[in-house]
Amino acid sequence: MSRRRDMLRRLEEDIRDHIERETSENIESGMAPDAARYAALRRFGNVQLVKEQTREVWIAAAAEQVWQDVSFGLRMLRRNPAFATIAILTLAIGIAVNVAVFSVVNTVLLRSLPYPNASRLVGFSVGATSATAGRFKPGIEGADLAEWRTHATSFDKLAGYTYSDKTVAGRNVSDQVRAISVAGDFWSLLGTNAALGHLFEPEKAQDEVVLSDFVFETQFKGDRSIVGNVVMIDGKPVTVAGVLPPTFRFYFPQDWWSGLAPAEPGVFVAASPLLRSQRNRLFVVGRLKQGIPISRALAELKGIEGTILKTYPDLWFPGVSHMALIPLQTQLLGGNRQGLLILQFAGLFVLLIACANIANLLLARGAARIHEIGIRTAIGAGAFRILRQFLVEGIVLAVFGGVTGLLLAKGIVLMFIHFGPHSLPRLSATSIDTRVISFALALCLGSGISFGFGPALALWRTNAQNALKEGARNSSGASGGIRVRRFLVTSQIALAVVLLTGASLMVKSFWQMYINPPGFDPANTLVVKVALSGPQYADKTKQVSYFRELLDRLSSIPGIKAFGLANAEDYIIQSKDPANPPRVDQFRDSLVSPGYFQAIGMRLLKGRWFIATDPSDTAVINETMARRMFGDKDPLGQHIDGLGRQILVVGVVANLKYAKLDADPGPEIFRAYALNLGGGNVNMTLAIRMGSDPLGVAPTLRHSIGSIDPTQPVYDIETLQQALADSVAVRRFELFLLAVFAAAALIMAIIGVYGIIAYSVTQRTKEIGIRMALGAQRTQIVQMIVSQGMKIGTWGIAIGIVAAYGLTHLMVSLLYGVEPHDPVVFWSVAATLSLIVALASSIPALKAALVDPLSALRHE
Amino acid sequence: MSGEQDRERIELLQGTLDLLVLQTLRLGPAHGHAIAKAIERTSDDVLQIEQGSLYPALHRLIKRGWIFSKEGLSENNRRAHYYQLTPKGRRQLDVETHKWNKLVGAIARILQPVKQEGS
Repeated sequence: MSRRRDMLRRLEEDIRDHIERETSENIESGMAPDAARYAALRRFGNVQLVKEQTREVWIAAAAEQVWQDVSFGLRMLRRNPAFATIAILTLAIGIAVNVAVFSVVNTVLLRSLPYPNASRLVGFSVGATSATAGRFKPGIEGADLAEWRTHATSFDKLAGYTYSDKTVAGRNVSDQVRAISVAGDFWSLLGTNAALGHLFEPEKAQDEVVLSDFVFETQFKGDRSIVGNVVMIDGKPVTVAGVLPPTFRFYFPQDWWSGLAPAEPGVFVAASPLLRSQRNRLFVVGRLKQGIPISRALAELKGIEGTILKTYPDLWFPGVSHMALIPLQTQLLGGNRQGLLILQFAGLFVLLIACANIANLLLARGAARIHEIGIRTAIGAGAFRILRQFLVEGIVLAVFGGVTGLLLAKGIVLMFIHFGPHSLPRLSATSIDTRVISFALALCLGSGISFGFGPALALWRTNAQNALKEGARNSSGASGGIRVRRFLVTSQIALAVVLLTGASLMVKSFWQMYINPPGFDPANTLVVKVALSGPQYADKTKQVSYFRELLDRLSSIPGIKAFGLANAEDYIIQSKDPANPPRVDQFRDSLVSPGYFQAIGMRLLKGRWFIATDPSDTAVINETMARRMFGDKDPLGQHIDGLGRQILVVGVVANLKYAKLDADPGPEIFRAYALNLGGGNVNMTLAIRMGSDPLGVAPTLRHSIGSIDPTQPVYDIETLQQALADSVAVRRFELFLLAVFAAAALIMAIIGVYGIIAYSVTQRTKEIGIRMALGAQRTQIVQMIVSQGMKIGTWGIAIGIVAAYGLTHLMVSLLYGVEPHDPVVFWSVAATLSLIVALASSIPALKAALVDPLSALRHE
Repeated sequence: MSGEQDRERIELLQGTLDLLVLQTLRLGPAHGHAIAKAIERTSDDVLQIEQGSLYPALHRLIKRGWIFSKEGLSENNRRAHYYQLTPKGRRQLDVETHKWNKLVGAIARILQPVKQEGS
């Protein structure tokens, strides 16, 4: 290109020079200067036209040559359909997985939340003191929020919310939907307006509701007259204030503390009656003022804390020292960030391996083309020209692979959205946008250049003139190529080892997670959420009588071995005296009815189970609690000072992962759920242990429970196994992808090994013939060829293991119960790969052994 | 230029300009103006070329690798681009000249059949 510019510059000089010379000649022959110049210009002709024509000479040259290269590349592909198909498919898969994973990374990690000034949004996380503690815990009381809103100056906006599932009835349809109760600057924080009607003012509104577009369209059939009319929410009449636009999305955190999975909210109600009550815990999200760092905002809240405690001495909120402000996006992602990044890099590894495979194929073909290149160089093709031809060929391949890959990626993204874990925030919003397309384009060009450039350089080193002299069929002509190919296959194996190690570590983690202690049988245990709703259950005695009736009915259903109710909440104890902090400041407190332990399958280590007459300050604690609280002392008969009263320990149970698979249970207290003493609650979990076929009893259960009160239907019935599986949905998603990547890498590496060994066998046919003619045994030939493969394999495996050793510590957050340097995993990966390399090279080795020495010697 | 003279001049055949340029350069390197003048002079001003059209032709020849250009100093110490034949260009000139002669011969034979019979 610079040559063109250079030539055009010379043309300018030439033209100027030419006209000057002509003019001075004319003057010498007696013309007046002006006339002389005019004549010279006339004689020259149209200067612009000349420039134009000259420029065309050069533009045509560049474009024409590139076009020649492209059509040559296309012709090569058409002539080798098998090669083209394999190369394009390999690349398409490599690009597709990367683009698909990147579109998730882009949506979940890179795209900012769809709210105004989203980068300044922070979530208030209680019980976490650093940004790495991923879980978002609510626990801030309405009173705190109100005080902060009045006194704190670090925030533009502050909003609180809680959520629960409520029954929405109206227009003869009734449905259970997620309801968000909101307080503070909720709407302006989200930056939304009503599509219909108006948004109520959270601080002033009473009995008003805002519907999501989904509820409006499905339950109310898009009937605009619903705005201003009354609907029933949990049996209470409320007025529909407005409807949110269809583009509105609620991505604020919802966590497991209430036992409800995150869901798309259907209705929004004002939380104002709740705001000043001290026993309601809120999620709080705030928007920092421009330029205020998190640390300063936190310090300000700490300053306000003293006055709040004076006004409300019995707040439950454990205080600002137990709270962290975490950027909302980080908080939403929790531990998923690392996992996604690891997947992205794993994907790039797969693409690298794919590129190495294609480079290998191109090299194999390039070796056959060495004669052609020799001729082309001899008749004057420049180095640049030949290099460019390889590059263009690579890019032509890459474009085909990229387009196919993009289409594939679209399909994979759809699969992600349908089958991916719902707990990954915003996964459903994943789309292929311009950033993803540019990423795909970059991958495409990068890979095209890499596998075009590599072979070109490799062939470059094999001197073209030698190639001509020696003849194309001679083996040593391609020696430069074979060295590069060996390098490529070695790196392929190394990359495959890294991926396989990562995947194996995750597989082992899962295996560890699913090891159940004896007696714990999640497959045969059902968990049912029972949430009482409606004004008729505001009274404690009504709650108690409902649950007592429920337990009565269950005892008459055949096939049930054990059953019990539980209600769990996480507790944080504020340290009132910093010099003497409580031994356990966070624990899980569950009210459980007798039978619950047996239904879940807990194992009693010491003491006794509950009996029906135990009061609610009787407790069974788990091992962790016992160890932290009492050390080596016998906990039985001891008292725990907490929850505002003395609690007597009567038993100790073994730790059991019955809530989450991927974390050991923390300290837990199970208190007796004393139905007879008037304790009650609206949200309970029912655990039922069956002998067999747990889900078969579901219809009976539904009928039996539903008949207690038809307005309280049972919604979710699942086995404990399913519930546990849901708790590791994101990990399973990551494992699945990583395993697929590792498998793809392995297959490509096998192809690579097979390809290079098969190639070298054909190259060495004559040599093998000579060896056999001189008396080499067939087994010796097999050994020779296999050991050639093993030499490449051993290097690859060794490098891969070292690399994996250096990299696996990055995936600690994805592992459970496995060290990142688990020796068993490392050794088995190495052994497996050695075996596979041996097998892959034994096929061409056996072929070599069957060579007929006579025909091999004639082979030229 | 008078009208009489104009009628005497003929337009150049497509592609023959390239041949003329190559032929001119056989005598040695020259700059653009000199080439134009040489062609005009040696053809006794019969060939009508617009001097400017020389330049696209020169660049076409460079692209084909038949000539190359280099900087040099002219008679009165002025900088100029000198064009020179490459070995490839020299070979090409032979080929083209041969072809040209054959063409001219063939056309001549067609146009003067009687004379040829007599000879």
